[in-house]
Amino acid sequence: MTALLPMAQTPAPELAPAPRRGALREVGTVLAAVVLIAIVVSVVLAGVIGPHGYDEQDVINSYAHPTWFGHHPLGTDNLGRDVLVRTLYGGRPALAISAVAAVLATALGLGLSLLAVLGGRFWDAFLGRIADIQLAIPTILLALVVLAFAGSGTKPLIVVLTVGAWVLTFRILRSHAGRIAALPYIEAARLSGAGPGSVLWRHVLPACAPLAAVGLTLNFSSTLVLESSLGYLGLGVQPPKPDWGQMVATGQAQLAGAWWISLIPGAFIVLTVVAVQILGDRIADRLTLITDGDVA
Amino acid sequence: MTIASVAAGAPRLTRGFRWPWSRRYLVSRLLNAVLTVWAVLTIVFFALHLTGNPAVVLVAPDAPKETLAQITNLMGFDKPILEQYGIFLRQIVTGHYPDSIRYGESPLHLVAHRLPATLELGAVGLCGAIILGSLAGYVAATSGHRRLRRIPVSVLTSFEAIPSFFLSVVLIALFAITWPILPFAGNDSPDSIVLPALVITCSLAAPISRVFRTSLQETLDADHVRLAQAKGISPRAVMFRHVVVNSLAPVINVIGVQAGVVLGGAVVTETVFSWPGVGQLTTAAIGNRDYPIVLASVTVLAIGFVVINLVVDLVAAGLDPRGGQR
Repeated sequence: MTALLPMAQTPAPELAPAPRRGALREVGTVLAAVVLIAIVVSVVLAGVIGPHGYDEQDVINSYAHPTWFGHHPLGTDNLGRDVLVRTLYGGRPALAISAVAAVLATALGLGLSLLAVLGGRFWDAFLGRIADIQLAIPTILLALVVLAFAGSGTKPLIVVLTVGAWVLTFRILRSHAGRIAALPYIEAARLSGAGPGSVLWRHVLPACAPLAAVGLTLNFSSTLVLESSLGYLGLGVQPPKPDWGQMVATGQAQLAGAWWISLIPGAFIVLTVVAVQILGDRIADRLTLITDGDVA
Repeated sequence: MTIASVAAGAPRLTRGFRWPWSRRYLVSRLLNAVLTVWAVLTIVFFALHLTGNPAVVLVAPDAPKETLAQITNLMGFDKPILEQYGIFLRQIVTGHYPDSIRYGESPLHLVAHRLPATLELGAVGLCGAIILGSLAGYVAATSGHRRLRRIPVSVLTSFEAIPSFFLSVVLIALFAITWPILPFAGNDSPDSIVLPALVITCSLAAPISRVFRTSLQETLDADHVRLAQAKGISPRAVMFRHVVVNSLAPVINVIGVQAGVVLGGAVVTETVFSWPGVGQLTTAAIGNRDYPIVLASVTVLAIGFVVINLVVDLVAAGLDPRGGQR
């Protein structure tokens, strides 16, 4: 199969089935964007929106039920701490750590895939080997070992999440960049005297950038899931600082009487992951014409 | 009917049974597996020594300096790092792990004791996922209704977006608290396995259904299927003999890739449901700073994962020998 770049001779529309553009689909995309923006903005502005601090106790009102227009809209936990405020503050480490790790993983995957394609056979074989080994180790086991022994600070967390996520980007971009590098316009650029740096910077990188953007959304949802899983297991952000995964774990004991302590931060995780995935899907749809289905 | 008459009716295997794998393929797969296990062990070792002296992790933060020195000496953490690496590898190859700090016995025994529960959970969850995933994939590829082609796979995919620990908590809230019909902790009754297995099923069924759907669609378009239809073979026979069987290899492959979800994800699922398996042992050991147990269970899980992948690769190559003869 050839990549259907503007360069290719085959007219694209007949080959690639046009993505469904139902009204429902557009509504879904807009909804996902709105939800994601709302979550990010309210998490960033947690200190401004929230009437309380995340560890401010209101013991008289402990286990308050969620009431839409009350003092504690989403209820309180066993110590009377406001669940909404804690969830918003808890989103800060969750979103920040996963976003940094996703960006690093995407950059690493992009950089190494370009190295594999343009750096010669040795690098290609070597990096492919490393990626295979990495895929053969369940990421969560690797994360458990490193965090159990190296301590669970922000830095080890980011390193673990990055190491767990880069392979996917590397795999996708390696095959895409390989196809790009074989296209005639790259050869034409080389023949007309462009150096390796210029070929990379002006021709290969721009062709890989859209796919890297899709990779970024995939990485973000996977790092957020892993970050909150580790938080749930007690290896992420440590109390008293709240964090989504950790809050689900601590609230689980009170599930019978006060479901909101555990389920609300969890719902925030799911909403964020789903919104990011929907947006990533839409970007990928727009790209099918130029990537020819490289996105898994 | 005698055996001879059956044999006469059946096509005779004059060439005898042939292994579907070339020797070269087998050797390279085995080497690959050994290399991967070695890489896992090396990563574990260096993770352990990342902080310099692993005794720091083992000893309580407020312990006196003498205790630290004692533990360091006892565990051999004061030897040169390469010598420690050699000792570490030798311990693992010979199975002589240091004794568990908490239980005072060989961690391999503890892990072996817990392994059946993990395998049981993984097997039940995986079987559920295979049934659910292949049904959804089959319907999606062959159904005449537009809705049936889309909805089952979409539903399974949406379950995939929920982190498994949170899915577990939601299932507990629904089926153990709101409608208390299922147990949510331990393994005391036969129905204890339902909820944890359901979580594993939900996270595995989606990739299986998508791969099976794509693979079926590709096979349905293949020339040999059109030929079989043209010959007038009944549609059902074409479907099962020529389409389904030929679409299985990618599904087997994806199960191999997802084996990590069964073994690694078991750590999370077992912890949520207090399922007495290796995963729960591991998280408890991390909490207790019981390094030998963590070491032993990670080694066993990693080896299990590599072995499953090896078996899956060989089975997939057997089903579709084009890959196995490389």
